[in-house]
Amino acid sequence: MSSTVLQNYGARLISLVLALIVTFVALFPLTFVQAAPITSASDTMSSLTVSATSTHAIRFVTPTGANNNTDTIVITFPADFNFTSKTIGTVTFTHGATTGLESTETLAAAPSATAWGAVFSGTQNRVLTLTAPTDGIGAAVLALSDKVIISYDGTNSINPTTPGSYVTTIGGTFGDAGDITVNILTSNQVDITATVPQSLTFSISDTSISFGSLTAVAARYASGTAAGEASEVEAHNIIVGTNAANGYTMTVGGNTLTSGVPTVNAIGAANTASAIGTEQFGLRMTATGGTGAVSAPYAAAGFAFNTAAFPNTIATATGSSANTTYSARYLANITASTEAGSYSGAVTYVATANF
Amino acid sequence: MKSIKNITVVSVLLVCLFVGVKTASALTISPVKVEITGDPGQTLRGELELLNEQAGQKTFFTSFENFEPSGDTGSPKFIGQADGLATWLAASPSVLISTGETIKVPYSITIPSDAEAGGYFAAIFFGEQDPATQAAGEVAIGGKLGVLILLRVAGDIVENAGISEFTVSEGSKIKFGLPVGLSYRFSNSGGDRAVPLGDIVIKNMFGGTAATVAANINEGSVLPNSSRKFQTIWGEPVLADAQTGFFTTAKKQLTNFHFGFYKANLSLVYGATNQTATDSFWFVMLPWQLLGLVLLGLLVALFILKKYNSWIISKSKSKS
Repeated sequence: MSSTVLQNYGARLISLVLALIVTFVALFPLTFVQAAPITSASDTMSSLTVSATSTHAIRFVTPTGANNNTDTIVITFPADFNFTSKTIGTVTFTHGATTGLESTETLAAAPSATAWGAVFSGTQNRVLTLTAPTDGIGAAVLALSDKVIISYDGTNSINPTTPGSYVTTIGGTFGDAGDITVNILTSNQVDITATVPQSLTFSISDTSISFGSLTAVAARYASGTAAGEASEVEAHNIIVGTNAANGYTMTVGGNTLTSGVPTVNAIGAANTASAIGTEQFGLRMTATGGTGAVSAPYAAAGFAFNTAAFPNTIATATGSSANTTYSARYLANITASTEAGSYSGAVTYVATANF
Repeated sequence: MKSIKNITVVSVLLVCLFVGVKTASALTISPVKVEITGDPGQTLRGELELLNEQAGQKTFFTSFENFEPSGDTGSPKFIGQADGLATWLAASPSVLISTGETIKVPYSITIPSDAEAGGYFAAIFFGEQDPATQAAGEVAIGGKLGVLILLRVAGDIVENAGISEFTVSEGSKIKFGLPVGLSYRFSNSGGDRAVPLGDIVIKNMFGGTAATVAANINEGSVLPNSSRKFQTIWGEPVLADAQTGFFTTAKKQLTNFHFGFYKANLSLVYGATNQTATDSFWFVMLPWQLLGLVLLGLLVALFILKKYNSWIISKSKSKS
C-alpha cells in the first residue's frame, strides 16, 4: 500500500471522527450545571394572622433550573403551618424568564411526559415535593435563571397558631436551596406583607484599650484610656443581634499579655476573683437587651480566660434576638517577680448564627 | 519598705493591650446560613450581602474555617482550614465598603471530583484584621462575622439517626401546671446533617389530645456524629416578672386545667428518604394549689351543711 493511499485513509478517518464529534455535540449539547442558593425568594400571603386561612405565592429565581427527570423541588413549611387534606389541585406552578408566569406546568400525582409530579407529605402536609416530568421538560424546560412561582390557594391552608417568625425552606435534588422568613401576627395587628432576609449584626465599640502600668499591690482594669483604671469598668462593648430563628454564638480567642517570652498567666477556665499579687489576666462580660446571654465561665462576678479551650463560647442566643449589648471587662494582676517590660495581648471575637 | 521598693521595680508597663484597628467595627451580613447541595466536580456559586454601618470606608478581609458542633445546642466550633469545605471555598480576599453601603460578595464552592458524598460544614468570615497578619503572630484585635455554609455532596449517603432521650426538661415527672418543659436528644450517626421535623402530641389518660407542640420549630440541624438537645414547652413561657403566688398559680391552673396522667408522644421525620423516629413517656399533672382550694371549699361547705342540719334539727326539737 502506497503512502498516498495511507494518507487518504488517514484524512478520511480524521474527517469521519470530526464529523461524529460535530454530530454528537449537535445532538447532545454539553451542559455545565451550576447549583446555587435561590435568589429573590419571597412568600406573599393573603393573611399573616395566626390560625387564619391564607394563600401562598412562593416566588424565587433558580440559578440552576431543573431539566432532568430526577430533579425535585421540595418546599418545606415549618411546624405549626397546617395543610391537612390539601390536594395538588389547589396548587399551581408557573415559571419563565421575565414574569414567572410564562409557562404553566400541569401537576399530577406522578410525573409523566407532560406533567410534574406533586406530592404532599410530612406532618399536616407541610412538605410539597415537585418531581420533574419524565422528559425533563413538561410545558417548558425550567431553565437557568427562571423565575418560579408556586401558589397555594386558601383551601386547607392554615397559618400557625402562635405569632412569630417562621422559616420555609426550598430545596430538593435540583440543587438550589434557600429560606423564606414570614412573620405571623396576632389578630389585632395590621397585616403587612414583606420579605425579611435573615441577617446577623455585630459591632465592637473600641478596639484599642489599655491597662496602663501594672503593680503587684493593686489590680488594674483595662479601659479606652492609656492609663487604664484602678476599679472595674467597661473596656468596650460588643453588640450582637439577629433575626435568625436558631440564634447566634459568639466565641472568644486570642492570647494573654505577652512581652516576648514572659507572659502574665491567663486566669484560667474557672471564674476566679481578682487576687492582688498573683499573675492574672482575665475577662468577664455582662449582657443587657435582647435575649443574648453570657456563657460560663465569663458570666459570673469573677474573671476567666480559658485559653486551653479557645475558641471558647462566650455568649449565645438560642433564638432570634434584638441587639444585646455585651459589656466587656478585663482584669490584670501581677506578682512582685513579674518581668518588667511592655506587654500586649490579643482577643478576637467571632460571631456566627447557629445551625 | 523594702518590699514596696521591689514592687515598684517590677511594675510592668502595658503600653496597650490591643493595637491595630483603632475604630469600632459594625457589620451586618445576610443570609446567616446557606444550605446547599452539589455533585462531585461541580462548582456552586452564590452571593452574600454585607452592610457597613460604621463611619468611613472599611476594608473587610475574607477567611474560611471548617466547623463542628460545640456542645449540644447547635453552636458551631471552628476547627481551622486545613482541608474539606474550607479549602473548596473561594471569594475575594477583601472587600471595601463605604459607610451605609450594602454590597454583594460573590463566592464559589468547587467540589473536588473525588469528594465523598455527605455533609461538609464551614464558614465564610469577614473581619477587619488581615488573616495574614494574624498568622504572622502579630497582635490581632477585633471581631469577625461569619456565614455558615452547610454543604451536602450528593451521592450514596447513609442516613442513621434516632432519639436517644425524651423526657421533661427539668425536675420530676410530676408537674403542678403549665408550662411543662419537654426535651429530647437526637443523635445522628449518618453521613450528612439531619433535620428532625415533627410534633409532640400530648394525650390525656382517656386518649384525648391535650396539646400538639412543634418538636423543632426552628428546623435546627444535627451534624453527623453528634447529638443535639431540642427543648420546647407545652404552654406559654413564664415571664421573668410573672406573679407566682399561691392564688395566682391556682387561678392559672383553673384557666389551663390539666389533671391526671398524660403521655407525651414524639414523632419525627428526617432525611432525604423520610426516615422516622418515635418515643414517648408518661407524666403526671397535679395542680395541688387548685385541688387544695377545692378541697378546702368542700370541707367548708360540708361544715356549713352539718351546722345547718344541726340547727334545723335543734329548731324542730325546740318547736316540738
